[in-house]
Amino acid sequence: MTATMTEGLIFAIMVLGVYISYKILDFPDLTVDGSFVLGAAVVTRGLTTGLPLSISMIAAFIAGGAAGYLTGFIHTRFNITNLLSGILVMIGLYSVNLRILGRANVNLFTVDHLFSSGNSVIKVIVLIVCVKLLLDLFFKTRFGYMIRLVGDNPNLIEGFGLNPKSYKIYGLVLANGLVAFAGGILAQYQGYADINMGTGMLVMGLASIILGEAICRRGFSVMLSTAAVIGSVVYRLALALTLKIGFAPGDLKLITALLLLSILVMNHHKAGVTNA
Amino acid sequence: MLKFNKITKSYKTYDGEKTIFKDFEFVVNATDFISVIGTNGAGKSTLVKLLVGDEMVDSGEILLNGQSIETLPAFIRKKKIAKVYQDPAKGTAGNMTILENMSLADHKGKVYGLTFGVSKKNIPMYETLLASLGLGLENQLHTLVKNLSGGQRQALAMLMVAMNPPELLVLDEHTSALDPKTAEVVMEKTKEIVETYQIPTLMITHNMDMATRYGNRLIKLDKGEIVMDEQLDERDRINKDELFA
Repeated sequence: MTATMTEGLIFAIMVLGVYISYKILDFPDLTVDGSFVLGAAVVTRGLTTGLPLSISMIAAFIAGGAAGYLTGFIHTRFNITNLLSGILVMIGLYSVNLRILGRANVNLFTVDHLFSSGNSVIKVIVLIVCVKLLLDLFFKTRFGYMIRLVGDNPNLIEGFGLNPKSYKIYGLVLANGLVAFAGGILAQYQGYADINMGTGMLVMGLASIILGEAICRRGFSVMLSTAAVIGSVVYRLALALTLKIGFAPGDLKLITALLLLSILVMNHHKAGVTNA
Repeated sequence: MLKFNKITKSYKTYDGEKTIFKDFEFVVNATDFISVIGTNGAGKSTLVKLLVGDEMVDSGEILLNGQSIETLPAFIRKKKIAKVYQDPAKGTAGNMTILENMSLADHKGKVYGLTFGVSKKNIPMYETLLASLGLGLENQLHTLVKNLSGGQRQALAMLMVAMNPPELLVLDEHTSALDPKTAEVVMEKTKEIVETYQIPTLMITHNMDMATRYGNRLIKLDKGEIVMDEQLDERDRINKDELFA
């Protein structure tokens, strides 16, 4: 139970990344399936070659940001649809990630990392609270407002004499940076990085956000970022429950898809959740 | 001063090429408040799109205060040219509050960095500005703009434009989606801005009453050509039936 919650909170960092691209930028960004692994790969490679933890984590964030930049660049420069741009970068990243990792699965059992000692749960809680608060704060700044306008009214950015395309790219950089950061954290938490650990990340992120929204619109008003974190934890708990009642781990993706579908079908009205 | 110099624009369609403008020439003077009228397909909207950069000219030159702007991307032109759209949703951010919208507009031309988007010390100033609309918006600073009526949104959009007076104001049927009363409020605000800041203005409209009441020059476009150009001091001589013929 604690392990599931902790995992849920780590994934919540990834979900916050998806929340930026999907909810704020209105950009269903498939890059995350690749940038999540990229973050894990960079951290794993960094730690196994003896780089300090902080440097490895920052490198993961920057690498993820670069992936986001690339997606944004392809999308805005060549007018390729948002889905396709993300898919292109995601596919390309598979090879890059394999290069960085060296092989399909690399463990971190012999190196010191964030969770080698101490209380993992507390560390993760501190981390997610910091990330969420920083993010909320960021979206209250002028720069953050501009990024919110990308999904809200890009026309207005133009009206202010600024290029909406640039802000779309900045948003994607931030989103994928966070996703990669989360990948790095997860690799340390589970003790290994795997080339396939990113499969279905976007869908999982969407499921968490939509689940969070569905929960939070009943009764109390919260920020969407909070809803996303809650959604992520509830989603992991739901998955753990399905395993407990006898489904095979391989069934989880189908269950996720069905869960997402059923929420979407039910979710006709939005209320009580404010953006950003 | 704005000058269109031998502008040509055509679109490729399945039936061949459709020419909208051919060697189009037009000058907007510093003191002009021009009402542009014309039937659908006359080229009014295309003219505006070419001007603000939503579409690019095939050939020719557009000069704004001596600088040629026809190759600049839209966002650079919009530093100097403000466009107010027919759709009130386009001039404001729906998922932000009135206060946030005002703060953003107030900041135009400066760097949008990592400082807080709303500076509290400006709130009284925003309230005064909003109160001048007479729509009660000053009491709803924290309301999301998407919850306002179209007219309220458009009035807010005009106010936001006024916070940083542009070198040229372009109004693309900006009151046509509003009820008559709010349309009047928005037009009065428009007039006030234009007169206070002496902004040359181009207003596309289908409303003959507004065209003659607010503008000081009336242009009629037809098939990409100016078929009428009148100073409105002589408005008494204009026969409205003739204009719509």
